[in-house]
Amino acid sequence: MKIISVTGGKGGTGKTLVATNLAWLLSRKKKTMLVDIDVDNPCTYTFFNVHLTKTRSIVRFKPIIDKEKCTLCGKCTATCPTHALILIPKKNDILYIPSLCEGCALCYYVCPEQAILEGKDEIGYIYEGRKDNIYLIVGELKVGQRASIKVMLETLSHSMERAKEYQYEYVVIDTPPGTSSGIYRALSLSNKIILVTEPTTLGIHDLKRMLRLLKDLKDKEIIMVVNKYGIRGGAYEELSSFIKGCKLDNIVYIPYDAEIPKHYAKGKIIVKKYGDKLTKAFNEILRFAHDC
Amino acid sequence: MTKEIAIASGKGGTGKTFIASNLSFFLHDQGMKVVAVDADVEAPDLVLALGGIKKVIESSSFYGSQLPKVDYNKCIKCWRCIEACKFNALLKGENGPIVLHELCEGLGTCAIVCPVKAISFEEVKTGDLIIALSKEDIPVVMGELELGGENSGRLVYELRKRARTMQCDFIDIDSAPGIGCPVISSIVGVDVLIIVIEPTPQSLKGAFRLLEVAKSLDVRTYAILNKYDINPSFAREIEKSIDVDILGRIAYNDSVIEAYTSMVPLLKFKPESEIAWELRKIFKVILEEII
Repeated sequence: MKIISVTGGKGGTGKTLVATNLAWLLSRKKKTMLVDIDVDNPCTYTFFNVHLTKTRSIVRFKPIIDKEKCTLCGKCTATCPTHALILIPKKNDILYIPSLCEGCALCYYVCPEQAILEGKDEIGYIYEGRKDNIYLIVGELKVGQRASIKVMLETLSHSMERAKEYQYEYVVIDTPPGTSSGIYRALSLSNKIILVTEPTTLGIHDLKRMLRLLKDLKDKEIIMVVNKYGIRGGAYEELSSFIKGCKLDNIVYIPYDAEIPKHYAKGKIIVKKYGDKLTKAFNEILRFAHDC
Repeated sequence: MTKEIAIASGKGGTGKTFIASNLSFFLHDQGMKVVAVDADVEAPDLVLALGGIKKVIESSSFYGSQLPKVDYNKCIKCWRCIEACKFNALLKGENGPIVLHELCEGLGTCAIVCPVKAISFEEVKTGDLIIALSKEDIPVVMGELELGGENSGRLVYELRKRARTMQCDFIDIDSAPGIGCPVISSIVGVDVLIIVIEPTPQSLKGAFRLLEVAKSLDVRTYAILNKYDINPSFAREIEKSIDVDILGRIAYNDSVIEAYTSMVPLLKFKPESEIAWELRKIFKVILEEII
C-alpha cells in the first residue's frame, strides 16, 4: 500500500485539484482510496458523482450533571481548565457552556459525589462512498464545533484501518491549508508527499513553513507541484531563487489556463477534458506516485 | 470605541488577505488608526501584503499549553491515567506512561486521577506573538504557531487581546480558512464579519458553513464576491441563494497578483484600476454605513 499526501500550506493553491485528479488517474488501473481530511470544508466528493453514506459519528465526552446528587461544592467548576462549567450560587445551579468544553472529563473525575455522568457530544462525521474504482472517505467537522484536529485524526485512523482491510493499493490524502498537528499526522503516515504551491509571494512564503515542518520527517519522497504556472504578474524571480535553495529536485509545473478554473469550478475532473494540456504535468505526478 | 472587523471564508485561497490588507490600507489612508491582526497563525502572511516588515516592535513567546511530566520513581503503574485520558495521548511504557505530545491537549486529567501524584504539568511554548510595523506604516499583530502545533484558537485570542490594548479606531482581523477553532476565536464578538466568496461550489459550501457558525455566535455578517467573473453565472446563483447582504463584486485581474509580487497593496499599486474603485466603494460602505 502506498500512501500519498497532498498538502502545501496556503489555501487555494490547488491541493484538491491535484488530489482528485491523481486519484482518478490512479483508479483507472489500481484500487485507490481518496481520503479528505479538510474537515472544515471537505470538497473532494463534489468532483465525483458519488453517493456518500454517513458511517460514523465522532464523539467526545460531555458532562451530564445529576442535580439530585450535586451538592454545589464547586470542585468541578474550580478545576475545569477551559471554564466550561460555572457555579451560580444564587440560582443553586451549575451552568455548562458546551462551546468552551474540550471534553477532557476532569470534572467527572474530581466530583466527590459522582454527580457527573459521562455524556457524548457529536463533533463530526465520517462519510464513505464508492465511485468506480475509487473509494472515498470524507471527514467533516460538525458546524459550530472547534475540534477539527480530533476529527482529522479520527478520519485518518479510520481510513488506515479500511485501507488495510480492503487492501487498497493507493491511498491519496487531501489535506487542509496550514501546518497543524493533524496535517503532520497525515504526512508522517505517508510514503510520498506532494507539495502544491503557486507562483505567488504568499504561496512561496507558506510553502517555506511547510518545508520546515517536513524537516522532522525522515524517508519521505517529496515532489513539488507549481500550479497556475505562467499566471501573469507572478513572483517568478522569487520562485526560482526559492527552488535553487530548497534542495527539491522533483518539480512539476501545471500551466496556467484561464479555462481550467472555470471548468474546475463546475466540479469536473479536469484531466478528463484538458488531458492534452495537462498530460505532461499529470504524467509526471502519476510517475511519482507509482515509483517505489 | 475601537471597532473590530473580521475577514473570513470557509474555503482557503478566496482572497481574505487581499481584502484584509486593502481594507487596512484604505482605513489608514483615510486617517484612521488601524491595527491589523493576522489570525492565520498556521500561514501568517498579512504583513507581506502590507509591504513586509519595516520594524519589529515587540516579540514574545506564547505559552498556550501544558504538558504532563511523569516522575517514574513515584509511578506505580496502575494505568489510571491511561484510562482517564480522553485523547489517547498516553501509552503504557516500561517504567510508566509515555506521553504522545502530538495528541496531548494539556488539560491535566491524568494528573488529577494519579493516586500517587506522579504526574505534574509544565507550561510549554506553542508559538510566538509578534507586533511589527509594516512598510505601509500599519502595525500588524501576528502569531506564529509552532509547526505541527495545536491550540491555535488560544493564540488568536491572545492576538486580539493584545491588539485591543493598542488604542486604535479599527482592528482588522485576517482569519484562518475554515470554520474550526482559530476561526471561531477570530470572529466571536467582532462588530462586523465579512465573508469572502469566490464563485465556485467549494467556496459557496464553505461560506454556508461559516454563515451558520456566525449565526450561532450572533455576529453581524456581510459578504464580498471575489473573482466573480471567473464564473459569472454561478456568481449570480450565489447572489440569489445566499441569505446575506453582498457588499460588492470584485473582478479577477492580473494586477492582483502583480501587487502581491511587488508587495504593495493593490489600492496603492493600481489606484485607478477598476478593482481599486470597486474596493474603495465597498470599504466606504463599511466605514460610513455599517460600522
